[in-house]
Amino acid sequence: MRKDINFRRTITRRDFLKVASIAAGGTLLSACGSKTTPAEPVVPNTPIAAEPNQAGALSYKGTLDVWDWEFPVREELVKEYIAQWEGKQPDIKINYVALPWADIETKLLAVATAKNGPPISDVFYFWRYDLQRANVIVPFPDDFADWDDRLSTPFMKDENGKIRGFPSGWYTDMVYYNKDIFEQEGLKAEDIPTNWDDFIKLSQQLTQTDQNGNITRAGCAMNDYWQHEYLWQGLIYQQGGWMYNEDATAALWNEEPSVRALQFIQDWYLKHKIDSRDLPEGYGGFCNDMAVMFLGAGWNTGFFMNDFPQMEDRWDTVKIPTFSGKATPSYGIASPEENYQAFNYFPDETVEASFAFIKHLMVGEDRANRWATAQSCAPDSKKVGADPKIMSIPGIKSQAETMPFRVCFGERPIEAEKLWRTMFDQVILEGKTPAAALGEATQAINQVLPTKKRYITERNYQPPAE
Amino acid sequence: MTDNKRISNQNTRKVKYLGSHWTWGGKIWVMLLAIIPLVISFLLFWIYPIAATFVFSFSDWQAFSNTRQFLGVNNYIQAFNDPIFIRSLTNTFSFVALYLPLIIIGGLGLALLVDAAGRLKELFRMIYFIPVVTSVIATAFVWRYLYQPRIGIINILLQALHLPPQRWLLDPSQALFSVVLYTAWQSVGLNMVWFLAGLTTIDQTYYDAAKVDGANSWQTFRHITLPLLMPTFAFVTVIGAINAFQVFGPIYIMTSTGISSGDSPPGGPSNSTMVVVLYQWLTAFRELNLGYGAAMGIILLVIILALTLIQMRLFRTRWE
Repeated sequence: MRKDINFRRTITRRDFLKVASIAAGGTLLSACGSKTTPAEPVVPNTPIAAEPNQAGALSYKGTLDVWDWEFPVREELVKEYIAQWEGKQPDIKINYVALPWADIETKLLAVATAKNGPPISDVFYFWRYDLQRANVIVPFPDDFADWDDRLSTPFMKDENGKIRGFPSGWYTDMVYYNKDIFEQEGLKAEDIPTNWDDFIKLSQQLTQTDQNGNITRAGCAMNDYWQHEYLWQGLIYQQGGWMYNEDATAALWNEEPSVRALQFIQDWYLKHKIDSRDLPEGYGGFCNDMAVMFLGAGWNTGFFMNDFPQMEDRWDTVKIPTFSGKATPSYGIASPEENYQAFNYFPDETVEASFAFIKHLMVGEDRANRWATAQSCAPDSKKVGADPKIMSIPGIKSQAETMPFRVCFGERPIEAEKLWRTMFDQVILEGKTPAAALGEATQAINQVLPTKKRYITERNYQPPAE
Repeated sequence: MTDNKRISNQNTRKVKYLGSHWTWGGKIWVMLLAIIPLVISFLLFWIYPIAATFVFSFSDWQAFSNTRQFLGVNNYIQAFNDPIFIRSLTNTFSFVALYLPLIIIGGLGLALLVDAAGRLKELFRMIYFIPVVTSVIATAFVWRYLYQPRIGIINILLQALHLPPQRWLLDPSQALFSVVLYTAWQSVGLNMVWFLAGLTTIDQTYYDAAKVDGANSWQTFRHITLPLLMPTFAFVTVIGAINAFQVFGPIYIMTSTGISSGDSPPGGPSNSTMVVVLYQWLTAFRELNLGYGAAMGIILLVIILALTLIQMRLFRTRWE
């Protein structure tokens, strides 16, 4: 009976709640008390990357995990190079894992900052800076490659002058045009003007509307968030302007070059009426013959050739126009297709082997050529970029020939993205003045920009002589 | 013996009966063994994340950073001074206000129609339930193309009916409603099933009595069906509101721009479809600002909790 009484008292709702509260409180306290571990000072290793064909030069033996994201052409190329590597380095196996694009960023950043990730991973340029701030990736060794030949070298340097990225190629925006429609209109590639004023006039001639004035065929389409962002940034550089101040603590978006660039995009839709947001997005209009030309970055090539195989042989590209019609001050921005990084939470011999493998994948003229061709991008090599073979490939030539005159701003502050999206919607869909939209965006970004170190590299750009 | 005493004696007998079985030396250990895994998993996967989120909401924790500092209530102050968060709150309430009537009236209407469909009842029930079990990603993507202003079938149909075409997802004043329409279409089948279940619980004798009394169809519906469905209304409203407050997938899919780049920033145009969960996701998992994102989550939790309690209290009063 006594036990009965005790038991009944023990499991009353009030008592249960007490126990539950204590447990929850304990959990809460444990969460409160979890250590805010300060960043451990990690001394970056700078191993000498061994030549992969020097069998026995590497002391590491075992398997190297390599992470990537799913992209069939790259996976195919990497697997080919892995087979070569394992032939030359039988003691070092490669476990190549391609994760879904939607997963890899979170997984990689989570495991890497917990120092529990793979020794090598492909890293997209959006996230590389988070890994750099978390101090988990190793700078590239000084003798890793011929840095003078790399177009990326000025833009990949950190505050200590170390190279932090080795892009497998570059994407730039260019003008895609429909060869069939051009032929019907009696036009040739040479008729596409190299300056914006004349380009707009040609686009207006090619634009068709219905009886209500709705555009049924755009002279030149972009109609895609990414292209708005790329073009706006590119147009700032075309005018010799900058997006950020020298120490990257403030955005300069409310200054004249930026306002003029956004005005240009608004006029594209609302004043010149050469494109419409109502048409299918991105290359959708171009590939459905609802646009004669299409302004897009090189990565579109692979996507639309996959989605619209009927476009085979029906398109070609030319360089993007500039305000001056010349290459200087710049053709605009270029975004690096990022590359494989080695992580510093492994023993030196693992890091050494990691760099040797990355070198095997990436370094050399043949590699630069293959990576560019596979990904439809410009090679990260001055020599290879001038190679007539590369310059004859549609979609690559127009990117490669503008590459020396392109700016890479380095880190893309992710907090800016929602502001830019709103800004483009406001000026294109709602007719807001660019100055007003940029004023709001600048004020908002300048509150968050100084909250952490940013790796902005735009001012490392030095245009070569034309 | 008075009624009270009789009840009291019955209760005492029940306690004794329970007491004789539930002893510390008897089956109690079986019970404890059975519930301990559940309690542990509840604490670990429900209580701990909520507690941790609450704690993180007072910090400046950036994902993948090794340090975090206590900020007090700064994240909460920031949220209420952040125009996008305020917009997302307004949009969330608008979403709930537009969505709930659609799924309640639509669900009830479909249930009544299907209930009256005789031998075709199961066929119609299945047809209307298909969107519920189909992937949101797939159907939202299809709807995005249905809404396409130039080649979308909805505008083609409108024009065939001599009605003006709309810009749907491209118009800041229509975009939220367009997403609500899709979300309601996607979930109305489930509500239909709840209402069908509710209808089956109504005793046929009520309808027979109403018929004898000469009640017409509307009077029967108004005075018998509706009051007796009140618990179902309560359930559908509470669950529907909770789901609507947490809407994410349809907005993400339908407002991310670009054919190939489906991961461009959602919530447009001009933040007209930015809801709290989407903004929380953008802040916490795209911008990696977990502390601020956690604060938004707690604000939403408090709102949902408060409104759910109010709803439950209102409905309890009605049907009791």
